[in-house]
Amino acid sequence: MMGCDNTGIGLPATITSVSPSQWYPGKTYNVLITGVFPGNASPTVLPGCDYTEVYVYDNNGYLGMQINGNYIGLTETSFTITVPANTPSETAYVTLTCDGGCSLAQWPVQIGCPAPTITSIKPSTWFAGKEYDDVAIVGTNFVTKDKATTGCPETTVNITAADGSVVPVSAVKVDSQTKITFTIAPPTSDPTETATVTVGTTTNTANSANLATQPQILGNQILFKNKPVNSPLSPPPVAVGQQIALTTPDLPSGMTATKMTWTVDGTRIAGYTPTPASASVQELTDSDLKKANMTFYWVYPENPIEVTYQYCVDIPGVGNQCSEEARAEFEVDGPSDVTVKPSDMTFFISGNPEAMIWSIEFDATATSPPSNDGEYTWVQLITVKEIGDFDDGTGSTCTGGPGLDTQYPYETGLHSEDGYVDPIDSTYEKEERTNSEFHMYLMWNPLTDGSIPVPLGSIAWSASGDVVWSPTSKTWKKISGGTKSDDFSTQSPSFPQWKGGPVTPETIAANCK
Amino acid sequence: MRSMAALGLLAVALQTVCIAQVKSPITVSITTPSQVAKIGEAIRVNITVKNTSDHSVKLYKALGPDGQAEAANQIEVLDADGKKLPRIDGPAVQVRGQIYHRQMPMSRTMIRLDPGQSSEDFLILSNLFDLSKPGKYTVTVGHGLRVDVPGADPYLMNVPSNTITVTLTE
Repeated sequence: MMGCDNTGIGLPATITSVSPSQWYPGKTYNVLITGVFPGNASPTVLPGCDYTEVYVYDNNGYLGMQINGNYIGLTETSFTITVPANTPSETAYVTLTCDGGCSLAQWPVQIGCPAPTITSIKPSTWFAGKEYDDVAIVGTNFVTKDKATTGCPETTVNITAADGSVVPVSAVKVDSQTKITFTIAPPTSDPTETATVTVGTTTNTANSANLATQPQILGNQILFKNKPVNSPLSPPPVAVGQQIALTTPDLPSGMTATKMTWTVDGTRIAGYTPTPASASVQELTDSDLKKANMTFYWVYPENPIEVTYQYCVDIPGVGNQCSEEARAEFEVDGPSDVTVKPSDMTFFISGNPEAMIWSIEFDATATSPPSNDGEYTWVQLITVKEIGDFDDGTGSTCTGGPGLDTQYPYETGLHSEDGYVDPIDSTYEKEERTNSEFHMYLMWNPLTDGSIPVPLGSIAWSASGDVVWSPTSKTWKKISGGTKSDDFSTQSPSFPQWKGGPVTPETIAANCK
Repeated sequence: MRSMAALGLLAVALQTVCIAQVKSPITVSITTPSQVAKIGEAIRVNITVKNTSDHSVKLYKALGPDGQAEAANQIEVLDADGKKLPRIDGPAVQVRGQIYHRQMPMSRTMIRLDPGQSSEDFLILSNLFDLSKPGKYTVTVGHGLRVDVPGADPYLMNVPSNTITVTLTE
């Protein structure tokens, strides 16, 4: 057909458009051809060409289509064609012929689905264990649902990892001929590898995506004593006052965390450092909660107490990625049912040496935690106010504290006794009034590395006395005085804190007026 | 009223007699590693209290670690002339032109001592007395042992130690 000699038939015919120009198998179309069609309507224009006809050919020859009508107008004509259902996807040609022989002009039409192409995939790196809801493939020749036919179905998306495993996709939607969106959730176990995205029946390896192991899965662990303890694992029971040092695995080489966030429930502190010189509580700060490794102490027993950890990394080419939260639930033991009862509260005057003497005993009961060894310790803070009157009518008021009562540490165990002796000297003072207030703390100190004592409660008690020197009997006489105590309080026990060392005669003397 | 007062005086007298007859259940001994020392050196006095009775006793002891034995013991230091040295560890007060050092209150606990058991503690003598002059000093310690009397206030029995000498040189 092609190669027909048109020399003798005057000007060749031309086709300027065919509409529609894409035909799907099994469909019937009324096709409009526009152009210049010299034919039997003007036989003089095409001498030697008795009539013109329209045929459709594909690369294999006559397509065998039914052409209804062969009358050709001067500028346009139409015909009806039913594309056979088994027609493969290909390019065919609408051909204008002379006497059914020579081809005067032709125009390509697309039969079936044109091969789709992929221009881009965003995002193109997917981390294992994480879901991506809106992955977009941009390209050409995608078949939407409403254009789909038996021979040209809706475009599908398939993804195969380099190791041959199929990566499941869902919610595939062909938005248009140029865009497809879908959801992908690579399994947590997927290694870092390349994946091939196949659209329709076309594999386009040029736009392969990357499957990357999610970094937070590798590092998203809470380690206690170098062992993972985050859910579903359970950490071993711990105790109040026990040093809790939590760490996290090292990040992969070259990866730097942009953010690290810990949350620690319960009452917790960064530290408590009692020494004879001072004792203070270090609170857990926001800065402490933003480090890879963290050390702290729980103060009160509770079960469970939750700890979480999350971090973010900046992955080149991917951007900021945050890990899943790792969660661990700790069982924090501690002494329970703690009581302290004071007894033997006495007050008397001693003649040799001359002194006012007070006494008090403390008996504690408590249920120790089952999983940890530890010891009960006592610490006392004191506030002193002392007034001495001398025989010349002068006097002095000395105050001290609140501060550590003598040196630290004190005794251990569930029993403690305290006495208080206030020397009085008749050589220069004839009356003395004193009032001292104390806070005795019962502490628990687990015997583990790095542990601290934590308060279980405290009991306030006081010692007061008013004595005068009797020149007649040459003895001191008691006017009033005694030892008093409040109930033991376990409500929100605070840590005993002091500075400047124990309350000493020197510190009290500095405040004499 | 007069007869009542007389009865009261009699009761006090009887109690005094009873107190006087109490035998000490403890012995107190002192030693020093610094029998001869230079002025300015810390003079340590070790105090050992032993329960020599057939029953347990309770002793006063400073609250906190060892080294504060002055909380439970009366210390007497005499110079070579037999003059008693005053304590200097308390705040200085002036009365009628005279400077005194007031001993300040101290907290102390009690420890239990079973028969035959001993308790050891120590004090730093040079922190309590003015030992800035060379010479020979004699030191005696008296432990204040609490004695409980039914129906009456407790009292302190002063149980004296042996005497040691400390010679200070320039």
